[in-house]
Amino acid sequence: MRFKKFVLFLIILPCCAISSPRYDVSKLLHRAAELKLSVNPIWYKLLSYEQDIRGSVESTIQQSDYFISDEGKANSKAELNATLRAFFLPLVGDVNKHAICRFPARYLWLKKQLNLSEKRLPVINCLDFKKWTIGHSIQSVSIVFASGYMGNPGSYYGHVLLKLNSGKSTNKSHLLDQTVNYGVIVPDTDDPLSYMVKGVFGGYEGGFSQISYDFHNKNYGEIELRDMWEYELAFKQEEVDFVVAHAWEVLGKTHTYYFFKENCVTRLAELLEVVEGVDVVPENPIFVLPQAFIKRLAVSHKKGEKFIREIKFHPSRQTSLYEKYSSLSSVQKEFVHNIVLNIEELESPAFMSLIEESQKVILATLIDYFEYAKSIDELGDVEGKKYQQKVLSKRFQLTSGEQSIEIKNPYPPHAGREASYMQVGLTSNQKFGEGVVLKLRPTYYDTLDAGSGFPADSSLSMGALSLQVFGGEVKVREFNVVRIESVNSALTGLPGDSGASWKFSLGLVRQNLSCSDCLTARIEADYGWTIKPNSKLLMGAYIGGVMQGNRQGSGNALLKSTVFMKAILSRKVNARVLIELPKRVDGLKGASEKVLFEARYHLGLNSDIRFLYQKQKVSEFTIGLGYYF
Amino acid sequence: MKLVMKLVCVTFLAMVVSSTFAADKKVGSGPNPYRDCGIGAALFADTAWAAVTSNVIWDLGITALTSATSSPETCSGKHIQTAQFVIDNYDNLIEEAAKGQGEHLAAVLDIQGCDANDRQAAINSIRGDVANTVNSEGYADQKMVDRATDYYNAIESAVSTSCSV
Repeated sequence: MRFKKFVLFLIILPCCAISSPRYDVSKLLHRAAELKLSVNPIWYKLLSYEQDIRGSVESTIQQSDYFISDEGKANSKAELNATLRAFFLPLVGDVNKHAICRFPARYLWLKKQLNLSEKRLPVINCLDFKKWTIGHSIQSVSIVFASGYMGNPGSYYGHVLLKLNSGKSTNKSHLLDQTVNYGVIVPDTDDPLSYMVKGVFGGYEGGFSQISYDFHNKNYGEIELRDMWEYELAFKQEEVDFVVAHAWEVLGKTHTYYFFKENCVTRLAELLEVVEGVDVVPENPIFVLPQAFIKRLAVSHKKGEKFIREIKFHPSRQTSLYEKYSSLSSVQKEFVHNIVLNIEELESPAFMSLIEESQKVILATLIDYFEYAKSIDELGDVEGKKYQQKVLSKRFQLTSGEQSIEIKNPYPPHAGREASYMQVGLTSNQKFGEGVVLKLRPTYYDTLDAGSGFPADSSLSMGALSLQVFGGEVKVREFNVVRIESVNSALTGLPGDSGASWKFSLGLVRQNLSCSDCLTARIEADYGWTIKPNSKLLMGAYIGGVMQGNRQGSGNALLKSTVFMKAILSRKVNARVLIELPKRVDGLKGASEKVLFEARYHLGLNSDIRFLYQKQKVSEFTIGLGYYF
Repeated sequence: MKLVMKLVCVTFLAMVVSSTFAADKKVGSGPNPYRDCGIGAALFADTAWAAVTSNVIWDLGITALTSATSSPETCSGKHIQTAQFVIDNYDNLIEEAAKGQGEHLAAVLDIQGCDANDRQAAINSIRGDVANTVNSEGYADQKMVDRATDYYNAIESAVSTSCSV
């Protein structure tokens, strides 16, 4: 009998041990209310709730299926209660539609906050989420910054995306890593002007999407010729899991997109800020820029440790071409030029007599060149393909392997200066005497301070304002809505890399330096060529046109030609000279020639001193102290 | 006993015959993933000026593909992923095949699950096959999908002969 009881005990014991009692959901709701989880900042971030001045919340996510409760979009408590209840619903149908699989970040967070035991929770195998995380192998996340791109106004300031790194744990190429991107959704039919206006004023939606990293590697590096920097973040594994889980939750979800304030930076920063103690949204009430985000990441710490674990530079095809070309000897450069002009030179005795290593570096440069030329539509389709085939064929004839050149960029974006600029200066005008000049440029860079993630030698500014004070009277000297200059520095001089450059500006300018009440609305466009004989000197010329308000008989249209030069004089000093010759098309008064000399002394990372001499009817000297913020 | 022996012999002969025919079938001569599995074009086909920019890849994140053939093996998992990777990254892959090294080559062998110790042999095989393609008469005029097919076949051949997966 005792034996029978013992056997019965052995049968019952495992059954009791396996089936731990499930949680009483009503008690969990009560506990969550006690802990005030529905008003916890992390809960707000998970649901993208924004609070108004009355304290009411509403989520900025537009899709109703992001909320389990019908009231969830504007009621954080209702949503939290509905989420908790949904976690304990039985599995019916597609496992991936269970709340635990749809909202794994909410699940992780509530489990931790309520100190729930795995043994008493539903066992749900989220197949889609598991597949997306490559079997939960993501061991770190990175923010990837793509440098500014002059080919698309939406990309002038650069872009950031999230890369989910699983290579170390799966031993696979980083090209196969998953990425999460937030971007504006633009219909194919929209024209450039509509694109800009809608982007600024909330006419579009922005959404999260996913794709493998090789897409971005090609799109940015090969097609748009943009350098990328990858910043791996120092998250612990459970923090990585949490960020990844939240990224999964928001895939396919949209917000209203605002180019300046609620853009890729804001939404990616929000993904990271679900981790407690992470505060990385740049503090600027007017705009948030990708570079400002990177700079903030670089100085952030988490529990005393740096937030960035590792930085990698991924050069564009253009940067790779320039680096390879610069490392060639003069003889090798000559071969490159000759072969580009006449592909049959590949079979010449001179080329064939080179040692194999020399042939390899020349062919590597040519391969980079033809890929670059393809990206800028330089070569005709037929001709380009034929040339590329011959270069590749020649390379196949040589042995495998070649020396890799590690390309380092000395001006990474996280080490650059701040985005906005203000200057106070003393000026002396030939007609008006001594005065004060005040300048404010909200964004971004000019030809003397470009660098660190911006196209070299170019300029981009929006909303720049310049005031003058003469005899106690304050007047506007200039207001720039937008000014862009895109310079191709023609480092190689090969076809397509020949220095074609362009400029555009829109704003209010004085007609010349001898008048103070002569602000005129003006739009200018120029096209030209630049050459860069060496790394310290840039020279160029433009031809352009001007449409302006007809003020005091000045006419509406001008043509103009401009010559300029920019030089790096020392490590801290650079300067530019410009001569502009206008030709009146209509109007009664002559257009004024303009001569300008400007020198910049790099005082510190975020400060400079500038000397400016201008002559346009009368001459003017200005010396100013500038500060970047 | 005689009946049993007959059955054993017939079975044995059937196995030998089927394995012989299998060995004669050229790897890569099976279904074409670009034609048969719905991969029609690379992601970087010509688009409207703002559609495929740095910020806009809204429609391109969907990677699930349905098989259009009665040969599920060829249209599944790593084959689809390999085929899509090849057509999307063809220029990089051809350049790296010419050089005999590169991260795109490494990535495509990762997809195939080729062991690290077998990589060099696989790359040499790919290089040899692809060199013949590049040197062929009509290569410059070949459509991208045909180039990608040749490269894909070179990978499949290299992996089947050189890699333990």
